[in-house]
Amino acid sequence: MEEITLIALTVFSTLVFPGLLTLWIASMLSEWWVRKLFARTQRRMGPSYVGPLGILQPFADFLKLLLAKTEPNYRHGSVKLARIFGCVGIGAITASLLLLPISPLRIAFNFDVILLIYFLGVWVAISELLMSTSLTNPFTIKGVSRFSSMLVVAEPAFFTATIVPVYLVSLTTKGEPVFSVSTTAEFAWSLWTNPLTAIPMILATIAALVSIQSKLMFPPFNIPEAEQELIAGVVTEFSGPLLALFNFLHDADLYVLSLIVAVVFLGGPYPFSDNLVLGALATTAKYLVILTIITILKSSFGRFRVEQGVSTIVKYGLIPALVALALSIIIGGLA
Amino acid sequence: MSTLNLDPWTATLFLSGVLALSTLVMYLVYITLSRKTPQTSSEYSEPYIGGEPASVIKSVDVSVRNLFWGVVRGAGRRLYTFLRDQMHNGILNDWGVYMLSYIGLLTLIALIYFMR
Repeated sequence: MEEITLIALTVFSTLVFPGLLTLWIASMLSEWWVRKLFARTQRRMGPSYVGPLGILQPFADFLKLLLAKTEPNYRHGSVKLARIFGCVGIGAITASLLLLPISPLRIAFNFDVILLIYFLGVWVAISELLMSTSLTNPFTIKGVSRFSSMLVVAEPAFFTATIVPVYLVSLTTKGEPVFSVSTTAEFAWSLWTNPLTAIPMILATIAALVSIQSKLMFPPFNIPEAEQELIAGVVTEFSGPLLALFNFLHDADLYVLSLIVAVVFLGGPYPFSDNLVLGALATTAKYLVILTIITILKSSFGRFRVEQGVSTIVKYGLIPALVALALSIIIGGLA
Repeated sequence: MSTLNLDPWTATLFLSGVLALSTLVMYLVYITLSRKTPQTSSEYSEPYIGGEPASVIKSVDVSVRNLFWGVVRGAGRRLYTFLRDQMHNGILNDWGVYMLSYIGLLTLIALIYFMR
């Protein structure tokens, strides 16, 4: 009986919550929030026609691309391969969601943060890059080359920043399992109340936000898709359902990265950890704050050249993350 | 809510299974929902070069070597310039000095390690 319950819970977590269905809805809603807010900063209306305040516009865009348009019949690449890598990227994001404490079936063990890095850092990035290179075009390759250049710095910056709260929680609390995403989410709030641990947490959060901005190719790091210069860079050859799939993968990445900051850095449901409804509201509020900061950064900058982008990620992403980690090790030695 | 405390090996296999299942379901949903009519226009079978014909470019397929050097130049332009101009300037004496200093450094580290 227990095995049947476990299988049912696994299938539910993979396909419904926090899996594919919730991932799709949350990704589309996140896209709406970013588009609406971004438009308002430029004195535009943003999505307005489908649903109240245009909230259903991303759903309509996705379904239109998927249902009404056709796949490109491209001679110089493999549409099937692009399709497979798009689905693998979404699969990797779904798998990583099971490590977060929002899942009804939670996977936790000592050092499980390494699996989070493996699924989000390796699989998602590789899927995005290979999906683009599957439909080859000089502009696509140039975009992929620029995107890879930034990922070389942005990925280590993001995951070094993620290790900081994980490391501090493992050293300063008695939570089990150690170096685990779930344990970190439970005790992360305590790191902000201690002035000694708050300093590396501030640095790590800044580093995480800067690297998220570059991983998502948001301005000022939008050189890989540099409109007008590279046509559309990494998405030049995508149209119809393939474009819908790539947009979903991109939005899902936005959702899961912002959720990690809200849960692992800001403590998720804290201070309402005992109340399910208030806890969910607190997590949502923190998530929206992160999304708003990302959108404000997106609307505040023009496009950087690739070497400017890389040096900015090093200055405001990698170095703060490494300093935060070094401070954490010193604090760990004192504790 | 239930927590599965697995060993790292089993957890990796379990989550890889979740990845495979969600990939398969996503692929099936995509195949089922996406429009079946094949694209007949030749416009969609050629690369998009800003409205120009594909013949304006030397090759549609850019080699992996170009991608690699694009990343090296993009991610570490300063390091690349330093390596090209200082390390690989074509002067044999400079190369000798570089190699000797590198091997000397390694020998120094080895001596410090073994004499500890």
